Amino acid sequence: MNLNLFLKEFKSNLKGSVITSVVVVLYTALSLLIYSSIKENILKVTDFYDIMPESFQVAFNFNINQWDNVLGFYVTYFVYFVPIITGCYSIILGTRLLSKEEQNKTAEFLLSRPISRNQIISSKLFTFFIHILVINLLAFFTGLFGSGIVSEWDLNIKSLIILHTYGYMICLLFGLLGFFITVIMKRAKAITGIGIGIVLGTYFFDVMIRVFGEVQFLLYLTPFKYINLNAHAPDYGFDAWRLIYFFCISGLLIMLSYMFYRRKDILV
Amino acid sequence: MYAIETDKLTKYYGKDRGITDLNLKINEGEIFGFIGPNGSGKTTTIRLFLSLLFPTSGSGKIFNYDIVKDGPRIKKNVGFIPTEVNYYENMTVKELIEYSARFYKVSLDHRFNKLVDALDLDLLRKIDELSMGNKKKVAVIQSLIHNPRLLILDEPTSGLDPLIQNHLFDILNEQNEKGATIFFSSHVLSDVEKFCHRVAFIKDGKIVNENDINSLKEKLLSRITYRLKEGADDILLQTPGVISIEKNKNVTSFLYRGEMSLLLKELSQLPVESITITEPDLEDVFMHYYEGDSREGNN
Repeated sequence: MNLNLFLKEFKSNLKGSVITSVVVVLYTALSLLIYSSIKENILKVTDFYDIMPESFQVAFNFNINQWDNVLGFYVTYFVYFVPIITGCYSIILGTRLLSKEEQNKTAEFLLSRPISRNQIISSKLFTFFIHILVINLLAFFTGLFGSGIVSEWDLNIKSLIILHTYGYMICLLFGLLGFFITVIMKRAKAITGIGIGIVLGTYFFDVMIRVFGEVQFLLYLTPFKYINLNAHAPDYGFDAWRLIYFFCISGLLIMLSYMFYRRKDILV
Repeated sequence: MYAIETDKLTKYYGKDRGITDLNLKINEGEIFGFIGPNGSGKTTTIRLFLSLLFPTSGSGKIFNYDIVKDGPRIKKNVGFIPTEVNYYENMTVKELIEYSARFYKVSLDHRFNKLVDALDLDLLRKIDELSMGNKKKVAVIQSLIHNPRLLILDEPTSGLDPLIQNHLFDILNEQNEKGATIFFSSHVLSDVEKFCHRVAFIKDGKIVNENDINSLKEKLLSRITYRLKEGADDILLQTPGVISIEKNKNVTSFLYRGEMSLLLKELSQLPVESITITEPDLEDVFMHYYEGDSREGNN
Protein backbone atom coordinates (compact mmCIF):
# COMPACT_ATOMS: atom_id res chain seq x y z
CA MET A 1 0.00 0.00 0.00
CA ASN A 2 1.11 3.57 -0.61
CA LEU A 3 0.44 5.87 2.34
CA ASN A 4 0.60 9.03 0.22
CA LEU A 5 -2.13 7.79 -2.11
CA PHE A 6 -4.20 6.42 0.77
CA LEU A 7 -4.18 9.75 2.63
CA LYS A 8 -5.11 11.66 -0.50
CA GLU A 9 -7.95 9.24 -1.29
CA PHE A 10 -9.12 9.26 2.32
CA LYS A 11 -9.41 13.04 2.25
CA SER A 12 -10.98 13.36 -1.19
CA ASN A 13 -13.80 10.90 -0.34
CA LEU A 14 -14.52 12.35 3.07
CA LYS A 15 -17.44 14.54 2.02
CA GLY A 16 -19.55 11.67 0.66
CA SER A 17 -18.81 9.51 3.69
CA VAL A 18 -19.70 12.28 6.15
CA ILE A 19 -23.03 12.89 4.39
CA THR A 20 -23.81 9.15 4.39
CA SER A 21 -22.85 8.90 8.07
CA VAL A 22 -25.15 11.78 8.99
CA VAL A 23 -28.05 10.19 7.08
CA VAL A 24 -27.46 6.78 8.66
CA VAL A 25 -27.06 8.17 12.19
CA LEU A 26 -30.16 10.35 11.88
CA TYR A 27 -32.19 7.50 10.40
CA THR A 28 -31.13 5.15 13.21
CA ALA A 29 -31.79 7.73 15.89
CA LEU A 30 -35.18 8.58 14.38
CA SER A 31 -36.21 4.90 14.22
CA LEU A 32 -35.31 4.42 17.87
CA LEU A 33 -37.06 7.65 18.83
CA ILE A 34 -40.22 6.30 17.22
CA TYR A 35 -39.77 3.08 19.17
CA SER A 36 -39.33 4.92 22.45
CA SER A 37 -42.63 6.72 21.86
CA ILE A 38 -44.61 3.60 20.92
CA LYS A 39 -43.08 0.99 23.22
CA GLU A 40 -45.54 1.70 26.07
CA ASN A 41 -48.42 0.97 23.70
CA ILE A 42 -46.66 -1.67 21.66
CA LEU A 43 -49.65 -4.05 21.71
CA LYS A 44 -51.87 -1.48 20.03
CA VAL A 45 -49.24 -0.89 17.40
CA THR A 46 -48.78 -4.57 16.70
CA ASP A 47 -52.56 -4.89 16.42
CA PHE A 48 -52.38 -2.20 13.74
CA TYR A 49 -49.65 -4.01 11.85
CA ASP A 50 -51.50 -7.31 12.26
CA ILE A 51 -54.25 -6.11 9.96
CA MET A 52 -51.70 -5.78 7.19
CA PRO A 53 -51.54 -8.65 4.68
CA GLU A 54 -48.98 -11.28 5.67
CA SER A 55 -47.16 -10.90 2.38
CA PHE A 56 -46.68 -7.21 3.12
CA GLN A 57 -45.21 -8.06 6.51
CA VAL A 58 -42.91 -10.62 4.92
CA ALA A 59 -41.89 -8.23 2.18
CA PHE A 60 -40.90 -5.47 4.55
CA ASN A 61 -39.53 -7.72 7.21
CA PHE A 62 -42.01 -6.71 9.91
CA ASN A 63 -41.34 -9.17 12.73
CA ILE A 64 -44.05 -7.49 14.74
CA ASN A 65 -44.18 -10.28 17.30
CA GLN A 66 -40.68 -9.33 18.32
CA TRP A 67 -41.38 -5.67 18.83
CA ASP A 68 -41.76 -6.00 22.58
CA ASN A 69 -37.95 -6.21 22.46
CA VAL A 70 -35.97 -3.23 21.16
CA LEU A 71 -33.71 -5.49 19.08
CA GLY A 72 -36.75 -7.02 17.37
CA PHE A 73 -37.85 -3.55 16.32
CA TYR A 74 -34.31 -2.47 15.45
CA VAL A 75 -33.84 -5.36 13.00
CA THR A 76 -36.95 -4.31 11.06
CA TYR A 77 -35.39 -0.97 10.20
CA PHE A 78 -31.74 -2.04 10.23
CA VAL A 79 -32.00 -3.47 6.72
CA TYR A 80 -32.82 -0.03 5.32
CA PHE A 81 -30.10 2.01 6.93
CA VAL A 82 -27.16 -0.36 6.69
CA PRO A 83 -27.51 -2.84 3.81
CA ILE A 84 -29.49 -0.46 1.60
CA ILE A 85 -28.41 3.14 2.36
CA THR A 86 -24.81 2.30 3.28
CA GLY A 87 -24.78 -0.45 0.65
CA CYS A 88 -25.72 2.10 -2.03
CA TYR A 89 -22.98 4.43 -0.83
CA SER A 90 -20.50 1.52 -0.74
CA ILE A 91 -21.13 0.58 -4.34
CA ILE A 92 -20.94 4.24 -5.42
CA LEU A 93 -17.64 4.65 -3.56
CA GLY A 94 -16.36 1.36 -5.00
CA THR A 95 -17.12 2.46 -8.55
CA ARG A 96 -15.71 5.97 -8.06
CA LEU A 97 -12.30 5.09 -6.63
CA LEU A 98 -10.74 4.08 -9.93
CA SER A 99 -13.17 5.51 -12.44
CA LYS A 100 -12.72 9.11 -11.32
CA GLU A 101 -8.99 8.84 -12.09
CA GLU A 102 -9.73 7.61 -15.59
CA GLN A 103 -12.65 9.96 -16.22
CA ASN A 104 -10.80 13.04 -14.96
CA LYS A 105 -7.69 11.78 -16.77
CA THR A 106 -5.62 12.05 -13.58
CA ALA A 107 -4.72 8.36 -14.06
CA GLU A 108 -1.94 9.59 -16.35
CA PHE A 109 -0.47 11.61 -13.46
CA LEU A 110 -0.89 8.79 -10.93
CA LEU A 111 0.51 6.05 -13.14
CA SER A 112 3.56 8.08 -14.11
CA ARG A 113 4.61 8.16 -10.41
CA PRO A 114 6.80 5.36 -9.01
CA ILE A 115 3.90 3.29 -7.74
CA SER A 116 2.86 -0.20 -8.82
CA ARG A 117 -0.61 -1.13 -10.01
CA ASN A 118 -0.93 -3.41 -6.97
CA GLN A 119 -0.13 -0.52 -4.66
CA ILE A 120 -2.80 1.58 -6.35
CA ILE A 121 -5.41 -1.15 -5.86
CA SER A 122 -4.32 -1.75 -2.24
CA SER A 123 -4.40 1.95 -1.34
CA LYS A 124 -7.78 2.50 -2.95
CA LEU A 125 -9.28 -0.62 -1.36
CA PHE A 126 -7.89 0.27 2.05
CA THR A 127 -9.50 3.71 1.74
CA PHE A 128 -12.76 1.97 0.91
CA PHE A 129 -12.54 -0.47 3.84
CA ILE A 130 -11.81 2.31 6.34
CA HIS A 131 -14.54 4.65 5.09
CA ILE A 132 -17.19 1.93 5.13
CA LEU A 133 -15.96 0.69 8.51
CA VAL A 134 -16.26 4.15 10.05
CA ILE A 135 -19.79 4.62 8.68
CA ASN A 136 -20.77 1.19 9.99
CA LEU A 137 -19.19 1.88 13.39
CA LEU A 138 -21.09 5.13 13.65
CA ALA A 139 -24.29 3.27 12.75
CA PHE A 140 -23.44 0.60 15.32
CA PHE A 141 -22.72 3.03 18.15
CA THR A 142 -25.85 5.04 17.38
CA GLY A 143 -27.79 1.77 17.43
CA LEU A 144 -26.07 0.63 20.61
CA PHE A 145 -26.56 3.80 22.62
CA GLY A 146 -30.01 4.48 21.16
CA SER A 147 -31.24 0.95 21.86
CA GLY A 148 -29.53 0.96 25.24
CA ILE A 149 -31.20 4.16 26.32
CA VAL A 150 -34.61 3.18 24.97
CA SER A 151 -34.47 -0.28 26.61
CA GLU A 152 -32.72 0.94 29.76
CA TRP A 153 -29.86 -1.35 28.72
CA ASP A 154 -31.99 -4.46 28.59
CA LEU A 155 -30.18 -5.35 25.39
CA ASN A 156 -28.21 -8.24 23.90
CA ILE A 157 -25.11 -6.35 22.80
CA LYS A 158 -23.49 -9.44 21.28
CA SER A 159 -26.45 -9.86 18.90
CA LEU A 160 -26.20 -6.21 17.92
CA ILE A 161 -22.49 -6.61 17.15
CA ILE A 162 -23.17 -9.70 15.02
CA LEU A 163 -26.02 -7.96 13.18
CA HIS A 164 -23.81 -4.97 12.35
CA THR A 165 -20.95 -7.24 11.30
CA TYR A 166 -23.28 -8.78 8.72
CA GLY A 167 -24.18 -5.24 7.68
CA TYR A 168 -20.52 -4.34 7.22
CA MET A 169 -19.92 -7.51 5.19
CA ILE A 170 -22.77 -6.84 2.74
CA CYS A 171 -21.56 -3.24 2.31
CA LEU A 172 -18.07 -4.53 1.52
CA LEU A 173 -19.50 -7.00 -0.94
CA PHE A 174 -21.43 -4.33 -2.85
CA GLY A 175 -18.45 -1.96 -2.84
CA LEU A 176 -16.05 -4.63 -4.07
CA LEU A 177 -18.48 -5.56 -6.81
CA GLY A 178 -18.61 -1.92 -7.95
CA PHE A 179 -14.82 -1.69 -7.79
CA PHE A 180 -14.40 -4.84 -9.86
CA ILE A 181 -16.88 -3.65 -12.50
CA THR A 182 -14.84 -0.47 -13.09
CA VAL A 183 -11.61 -2.50 -13.27
CA ILE A 184 -12.95 -4.61 -16.11
CA MET A 185 -14.50 -1.68 -18.00
CA LYS A 186 -12.38 -0.67 -20.96
CA ARG A 187 -12.84 3.00 -20.12
CA ALA A 188 -13.91 3.18 -16.52
CA LYS A 189 -16.66 5.66 -15.79
CA ALA A 190 -18.87 6.45 -12.83
CA ILE A 191 -21.76 4.02 -12.84
CA THR A 192 -23.70 5.45 -9.92
CA GLY A 193 -27.10 4.58 -11.41
CA ILE A 194 -26.11 1.01 -12.20
CA GLY A 195 -24.59 0.67 -8.72
CA ILE A 196 -27.73 1.81 -6.93
CA GLY A 197 -29.71 -0.39 -9.32
CA ILE A 198 -27.70 -3.42 -8.26
CA VAL A 199 -28.32 -2.81 -4.54
CA LEU A 200 -32.03 -2.02 -4.88
CA GLY A 201 -32.51 -4.65 -7.58
CA THR A 202 -31.07 -7.45 -5.46
CA TYR A 203 -33.09 -6.20 -2.47
CA PHE A 204 -36.37 -6.21 -4.37
CA PHE A 205 -35.48 -9.56 -5.89
CA ASP A 206 -35.05 -10.83 -2.33
CA VAL A 207 -38.41 -9.30 -1.31
CA MET A 208 -40.26 -10.79 -4.27
CA ILE A 209 -38.91 -14.26 -3.69
CA ARG A 210 -39.80 -14.11 -0.01
CA VAL A 211 -43.35 -13.03 -0.91
CA PHE A 212 -43.79 -15.57 -3.71
CA GLY A 213 -42.38 -18.43 -1.69
CA GLU A 214 -42.37 -21.15 -4.40
CA VAL A 215 -38.91 -20.36 -5.71
CA GLN A 216 -37.06 -20.00 -2.40
CA PHE A 217 -33.86 -21.49 -3.84
CA LEU A 218 -33.45 -18.33 -5.93
CA LEU A 219 -32.91 -16.41 -2.69
CA TYR A 220 -29.36 -17.73 -2.69
CA LEU A 221 -28.67 -15.49 -5.67
CA THR A 222 -29.10 -12.31 -3.65
CA PRO A 223 -26.60 -11.20 -1.04
CA PHE A 224 -29.48 -10.25 1.29
CA LYS A 225 -30.09 -13.96 1.88
CA TYR A 226 -26.72 -14.14 3.57
CA ILE A 227 -27.44 -11.60 6.31
CA ASN A 228 -28.96 -13.24 9.34
CA LEU A 229 -31.64 -10.84 10.59
CA ASN A 230 -32.96 -13.05 13.39
CA ALA A 231 -31.05 -11.06 15.98
CA HIS A 232 -33.70 -11.64 18.64
CA ALA A 233 -33.26 -15.44 18.42
CA PRO A 234 -31.58 -16.91 21.52
CA ASP A 235 -28.99 -18.86 19.49
CA TYR A 236 -28.21 -15.91 17.17
CA GLY A 237 -24.65 -16.00 15.93
CA PHE A 238 -22.44 -16.23 12.88
CA ASP A 239 -23.43 -19.03 10.49
CA ALA A 240 -20.49 -20.66 8.76
CA TRP A 241 -22.23 -20.88 5.36
CA ARG A 242 -23.03 -17.17 5.40
CA LEU A 243 -19.46 -16.23 6.36
CA ILE A 244 -18.04 -18.55 3.71
CA TYR A 245 -20.25 -16.84 1.12
CA PHE A 246 -19.09 -13.36 2.08
CA PHE A 247 -15.41 -14.29 2.37
CA CYS A 248 -15.34 -16.28 -0.88
CA ILE A 249 -17.18 -13.72 -3.01
CA SER A 250 -15.26 -10.78 -1.50
CA GLY A 251 -11.94 -12.62 -1.82
CA LEU A 252 -12.69 -13.52 -5.42
CA LEU A 253 -13.62 -9.94 -6.33
CA ILE A 254 -10.44 -8.60 -4.69
CA MET A 255 -8.24 -11.19 -6.39
CA LEU A 256 -9.80 -10.57 -9.82
CA SER A 257 -9.49 -6.80 -9.37
CA TYR A 258 -5.74 -7.11 -8.75
CA MET A 259 -5.37 -9.54 -11.64
CA PHE A 260 -7.20 -7.47 -14.25
CA TYR A 261 -5.87 -4.06 -13.18
CA ARG A 262 -2.27 -5.28 -13.33
CA ARG A 263 -2.58 -5.63 -17.10
CA LYS A 264 -5.21 -3.04 -17.89
CA ASP A 265 -4.52 -0.46 -20.60
CA ILE A 266 -5.36 2.95 -19.20
CA LEU A 267 -7.03 4.82 -22.04
CA VAL A 268 -7.16 8.44 -20.91
CA MET B 1 23.51 0.90 -21.55
CA TYR B 2 20.89 2.87 -23.44
CA ALA B 3 18.51 5.27 -21.73
CA ILE B 4 15.72 3.93 -23.94
CA GLU B 5 15.84 0.83 -26.07
CA THR B 6 12.93 -0.76 -27.89
CA ASP B 7 12.80 -3.87 -29.98
CA LYS B 8 9.93 -4.18 -32.45
CA LEU B 9 7.65 -2.50 -29.91
CA THR B 10 4.10 -2.82 -31.18
CA LYS B 11 0.76 -1.70 -29.85
CA TYR B 12 -2.65 -2.35 -31.32
CA TYR B 13 -5.93 -1.17 -29.79
CA GLY B 14 -8.01 -4.12 -30.88
CA LYS B 15 -7.72 -3.87 -34.65
CA ASP B 16 -6.63 -0.23 -34.61
CA ARG B 17 -2.96 0.51 -35.11
CA GLY B 18 -1.04 2.31 -32.37
CA ILE B 19 2.60 1.72 -33.29
CA THR B 20 4.28 -1.09 -35.21
CA ASP B 21 7.78 -2.55 -34.90
CA LEU B 22 9.26 0.49 -33.22
CA ASN B 23 13.03 0.19 -32.86
CA LEU B 24 14.74 2.95 -30.90
CA LYS B 25 18.09 3.26 -29.21
CA ILE B 26 18.59 6.47 -27.28
CA ASN B 27 21.87 7.09 -25.53
CA GLU B 28 22.17 8.45 -22.01
CA GLY B 29 22.59 12.21 -22.01
CA GLU B 30 21.04 12.62 -25.44
CA ILE B 31 18.22 14.99 -26.37
CA PHE B 32 16.13 12.93 -28.71
CA GLY B 33 13.39 14.48 -30.81
CA PHE B 34 10.39 12.35 -31.67
CA ILE B 35 8.37 14.04 -34.34
CA GLY B 36 5.22 13.15 -36.18
CA PRO B 37 1.77 14.45 -37.04
CA ASN B 38 -1.23 13.97 -34.75
CA GLY B 39 -2.29 10.32 -34.57
CA SER B 40 1.11 9.04 -35.70
CA GLY B 41 1.76 7.11 -32.47
CA LYS B 42 3.88 9.53 -30.41
CA THR B 43 1.64 9.50 -27.35
CA THR B 44 1.11 5.73 -27.60
CA THR B 45 4.89 5.28 -27.50
CA ILE B 46 5.17 7.48 -24.41
CA ARG B 47 2.31 5.70 -22.66
CA LEU B 48 4.04 2.40 -23.31
CA PHE B 49 7.23 3.81 -21.74
CA LEU B 50 5.21 4.86 -18.69
CA SER B 51 3.33 1.52 -18.41
CA LEU B 52 -0.04 3.14 -18.91
CA LEU B 53 -0.38 0.79 -21.86
CA PHE B 54 1.05 -2.66 -22.40
CA PRO B 55 2.65 -3.77 -25.67
CA THR B 56 0.88 -6.12 -28.04
CA SER B 57 4.30 -7.49 -28.99
CA GLY B 58 7.94 -6.54 -28.87
CA SER B 59 9.75 -5.12 -25.86
CA GLY B 60 11.16 -1.97 -24.40
CA LYS B 61 13.72 -1.08 -21.78
CA ILE B 62 14.48 2.11 -19.94
CA PHE B 63 17.85 2.14 -18.17
CA ASN B 64 17.84 -1.59 -18.78
CA TYR B 65 14.58 -2.09 -16.86
CA ASP B 66 11.70 -3.73 -18.69
CA ILE B 67 8.79 -1.36 -19.34
CA VAL B 68 6.25 -4.07 -18.54
CA LYS B 69 7.76 -5.63 -15.42
CA ASP B 70 9.70 -2.78 -13.84
CA GLY B 71 7.36 0.20 -14.17
CA PRO B 72 7.80 1.67 -10.65
CA ARG B 73 11.61 1.33 -10.78
CA ILE B 74 11.71 3.09 -14.13
CA LYS B 75 9.44 5.88 -12.99
CA LYS B 76 11.66 6.73 -10.03
CA ASN B 77 14.07 8.09 -12.59
CA VAL B 78 11.60 9.61 -15.02
CA GLY B 79 10.01 13.05 -15.16
CA PHE B 80 7.01 13.42 -17.46
CA ILE B 81 5.28 16.40 -19.03
CA PRO B 82 2.04 15.44 -20.80
CA THR B 83 0.51 17.14 -23.83
CA GLU B 84 -2.70 17.90 -22.04
CA VAL B 85 -2.27 18.52 -18.32
CA ASN B 86 -4.99 16.90 -16.21
CA TYR B 87 -4.36 17.21 -12.49
CA TYR B 88 -6.57 17.08 -9.40
CA GLU B 89 -8.60 20.23 -9.80
CA ASN B 90 -9.47 20.79 -6.16
CA MET B 91 -5.80 20.86 -5.11
CA THR B 92 -3.69 24.00 -5.00
CA VAL B 93 -0.50 24.08 -7.07
CA LYS B 94 1.57 23.59 -3.92
CA GLU B 95 -0.53 20.67 -2.70
CA LEU B 96 -0.22 18.99 -6.09
CA ILE B 97 3.55 19.39 -6.23
CA GLU B 98 3.95 18.23 -2.63
CA TYR B 99 1.72 15.24 -3.36
CA SER B 100 3.89 14.38 -6.35
CA ALA B 101 7.14 14.89 -4.37
CA ARG B 102 6.02 12.44 -1.66
CA PHE B 103 5.89 9.63 -4.24
CA TYR B 104 9.60 10.19 -4.85
CA LYS B 105 10.33 10.76 -1.14
CA VAL B 106 11.94 14.12 -1.86
CA SER B 107 11.40 17.46 -0.17
CA LEU B 108 10.93 20.74 -1.97
CA ASP B 109 14.27 22.51 -1.72
CA HIS B 110 15.83 25.68 -3.16
CA ARG B 111 15.70 24.17 -6.68
CA PHE B 112 11.94 24.10 -6.43
CA ASN B 113 11.83 27.78 -5.40
CA LYS B 114 14.14 28.63 -8.29
CA LEU B 115 11.85 26.86 -10.76
CA VAL B 116 8.76 28.57 -9.34
CA ASP B 117 10.47 31.96 -9.72
CA ALA B 118 11.70 31.21 -13.24
CA LEU B 119 8.26 30.13 -14.40
CA ASP B 120 6.42 32.80 -12.40
CA LEU B 121 3.84 30.48 -10.85
CA ASP B 122 1.37 31.25 -8.05
CA LEU B 123 1.53 28.28 -5.68
CA LEU B 124 -1.65 29.09 -3.82
CA ARG B 125 -4.01 28.98 -6.77
CA LYS B 126 -6.21 25.97 -7.35
CA ILE B 127 -5.49 23.80 -10.36
CA ASP B 128 -8.96 24.39 -11.83
CA GLU B 129 -8.33 28.16 -11.80
CA LEU B 130 -5.19 27.83 -13.94
CA SER B 131 -4.93 28.52 -17.64
CA MET B 132 -3.57 25.81 -19.93
CA GLY B 133 -0.17 27.53 -19.94
CA ASN B 134 -0.01 27.71 -16.15
CA LYS B 135 -1.02 24.07 -15.86
CA LYS B 136 1.88 23.29 -18.17
CA LYS B 137 4.21 25.18 -15.84
CA VAL B 138 3.00 23.01 -12.95
CA ALA B 139 3.73 19.97 -15.11
CA VAL B 140 7.25 21.24 -15.77
CA ILE B 141 7.97 21.76 -12.07
CA GLN B 142 6.54 18.43 -10.92
CA SER B 143 8.55 16.65 -13.61
CA LEU B 144 11.82 18.06 -12.25
CA ILE B 145 11.48 17.98 -8.46
CA HIS B 146 13.10 14.56 -8.12
CA ASN B 147 15.99 15.37 -10.44
CA PRO B 148 15.16 12.62 -12.98
CA ARG B 149 17.68 10.87 -15.20
CA LEU B 150 15.19 10.81 -18.05
CA LEU B 151 12.66 13.46 -19.02
CA ILE B 152 9.80 12.40 -21.25
CA LEU B 153 8.15 15.43 -22.78
CA ASP B 154 4.99 15.17 -24.84
CA GLU B 155 4.46 18.46 -26.70
CA PRO B 156 5.94 20.43 -23.78
CA THR B 157 5.77 23.85 -25.43
CA SER B 158 2.08 23.78 -26.34
CA GLY B 159 0.17 26.42 -24.40
CA LEU B 160 3.30 28.25 -23.26
CA ASP B 161 4.05 31.80 -24.37
CA PRO B 162 7.38 32.34 -26.19
CA LEU B 163 9.10 33.84 -23.14
CA ILE B 164 8.21 30.87 -20.96
CA GLN B 165 9.13 28.51 -23.81
CA ASN B 166 12.62 30.01 -23.71
CA HIS B 167 12.77 29.56 -19.94
CA LEU B 168 11.69 25.98 -20.42
CA PHE B 169 14.43 25.31 -22.98
CA ASP B 170 16.98 26.89 -20.60
CA ILE B 171 15.79 24.65 -17.76
CA LEU B 172 15.87 21.56 -19.98
CA ASN B 173 19.33 22.38 -21.29
CA GLU B 174 20.52 22.77 -17.71
CA GLN B 175 19.09 19.35 -16.85
CA ASN B 176 20.75 17.88 -19.92
CA GLU B 177 24.11 19.40 -18.95
CA LYS B 178 23.75 17.61 -15.61
CA GLY B 179 23.41 14.35 -17.53
CA ALA B 180 19.67 13.93 -17.99
CA THR B 181 18.41 12.26 -21.15
CA ILE B 182 15.51 14.01 -22.82
CA PHE B 183 12.87 12.37 -24.99
CA PHE B 184 11.18 15.25 -26.74
CA SER B 185 7.99 14.46 -28.61
CA SER B 186 6.57 17.22 -30.76
CA HIS B 187 4.92 18.11 -34.03
CA VAL B 188 6.73 21.46 -34.15
CA LEU B 189 9.78 21.08 -36.35
CA SER B 190 11.46 24.29 -35.21
CA ASP B 191 11.38 23.19 -31.52
CA VAL B 192 13.08 19.93 -32.38
CA GLU B 193 15.50 21.63 -34.73
CA LYS B 194 16.82 24.08 -32.16
CA PHE B 195 16.85 21.74 -29.17
CA CYS B 196 17.57 18.13 -30.12
CA HIS B 197 20.74 16.21 -30.94
CA ARG B 198 18.99 13.50 -32.88
CA VAL B 199 15.52 13.07 -34.27
CA ALA B 200 13.21 10.26 -35.35
CA PHE B 201 10.18 10.82 -37.55
CA ILE B 202 7.12 8.70 -36.93
CA LYS B 203 4.24 8.34 -39.32
CA ASP B 204 1.31 5.91 -39.21
CA GLY B 205 2.87 4.18 -36.22
CA LYS B 206 6.22 3.50 -37.87
CA ILE B 207 9.56 5.22 -37.66
CA VAL B 208 10.18 6.50 -41.18
CA ASN B 209 13.53 8.11 -40.59
CA GLU B 210 16.14 8.77 -37.95
CA ASN B 211 18.75 11.49 -38.30
CA ASP B 212 21.19 13.60 -36.41
CA ILE B 213 19.99 17.15 -36.31
CA ASN B 214 22.63 18.58 -38.66
CA SER B 215 21.73 16.32 -41.55
CA LEU B 216 18.09 17.11 -40.90
CA LYS B 217 18.78 20.83 -41.11
CA GLU B 218 20.51 20.37 -44.45
CA LYS B 219 17.44 18.74 -45.88
CA LEU B 220 14.75 20.84 -44.26
CA LEU B 221 12.30 22.59 -46.49
CA SER B 222 10.85 26.08 -46.11
CA ARG B 223 7.48 27.27 -47.28
CA ILE B 224 7.67 30.52 -49.21
CA THR B 225 4.55 32.53 -49.94
CA TYR B 226 4.66 35.83 -51.83
CA ARG B 227 2.06 38.25 -53.07
CA LEU B 228 2.67 40.25 -56.26
CA LYS B 229 1.46 43.76 -56.80
CA GLU B 230 -1.92 44.01 -58.51
CA GLY B 231 -1.66 43.36 -62.25
CA ALA B 232 2.00 42.27 -62.19
CA ASP B 233 3.05 39.22 -64.18
CA ASP B 234 4.56 36.26 -62.38
CA ILE B 235 7.51 34.30 -63.74
CA LEU B 236 8.63 30.70 -63.55
CA LEU B 237 11.29 30.59 -60.85
CA GLN B 238 14.62 29.25 -62.09
CA THR B 239 16.37 28.70 -58.75
CA PRO B 240 16.93 24.96 -58.16
CA GLY B 241 15.10 23.42 -55.14
CA VAL B 242 11.68 24.97 -55.77
CA ILE B 243 8.89 22.38 -55.57
CA SER B 244 5.12 22.14 -55.27
CA ILE B 245 4.25 25.54 -56.66
CA GLU B 246 0.65 26.62 -56.03
CA LYS B 247 -0.79 29.81 -57.52
CA ASN B 248 -3.95 31.58 -56.53
CA LYS B 249 -4.47 34.91 -58.37
CA ASN B 250 -1.48 37.04 -57.35
CA VAL B 251 -0.41 34.79 -54.42
CA THR B 252 2.20 32.10 -55.06
CA SER B 253 3.26 29.47 -52.54
CA PHE B 254 5.91 26.76 -52.85
CA LEU B 255 8.37 24.62 -50.91
CA TYR B 256 12.07 25.34 -51.13
CA ARG B 257 15.18 23.51 -50.13
CA GLY B 258 18.47 25.28 -50.84
CA GLU B 259 20.42 28.47 -50.38
CA MET B 260 17.93 31.12 -49.30
CA SER B 261 20.00 34.03 -50.64
CA LEU B 262 19.82 32.67 -54.20
CA LEU B 263 16.07 32.46 -54.05
CA LEU B 264 15.68 35.92 -52.54
CA LYS B 265 17.89 37.35 -55.26
CA GLU B 266 15.58 35.95 -57.90
CA LEU B 267 12.46 37.07 -56.07
CA SER B 268 13.85 40.59 -55.69
CA GLN B 269 13.44 41.01 -59.44
CA LEU B 270 9.69 40.57 -59.12
CA PRO B 271 7.22 43.29 -58.03
CA VAL B 272 6.62 41.54 -54.71
CA GLU B 273 4.20 43.22 -52.30
CA SER B 274 4.82 40.87 -49.36
CA ILE B 275 6.68 37.66 -48.64
CA THR B 276 6.58 35.14 -45.79
CA ILE B 277 8.99 32.32 -45.06
CA THR B 278 7.67 29.67 -42.67
CA GLU B 279 8.45 26.09 -41.83
CA PRO B 280 6.37 23.61 -43.79
CA ASP B 281 3.72 21.57 -42.05
CA LEU B 282 4.59 18.00 -41.27
CA GLU B 283 2.53 16.58 -44.11
CA ASP B 284 4.72 18.55 -46.54
CA VAL B 285 7.84 17.24 -44.85
CA PHE B 286 6.71 13.66 -45.10
CA MET B 287 5.48 14.04 -48.64
CA HIS B 288 8.49 15.77 -50.12
CA TYR B 289 11.35 14.59 -47.99
CA TYR B 290 10.68 11.10 -46.69
CA GLU B 291 8.66 9.73 -49.55
CA GLY B 292 11.47 10.98 -51.79
CA ASP B 293 14.04 9.32 -49.56
CA SER B 294 12.26 6.00 -49.61
CA ARG B 295 12.05 6.12 -53.40
CA GLU B 296 15.77 6.81 -53.57
CA GLY B 297 16.37 3.95 -51.13
CA ASN B 298 14.39 1.57 -53.28
CA ASN B 299 16.28 2.44 -56.44
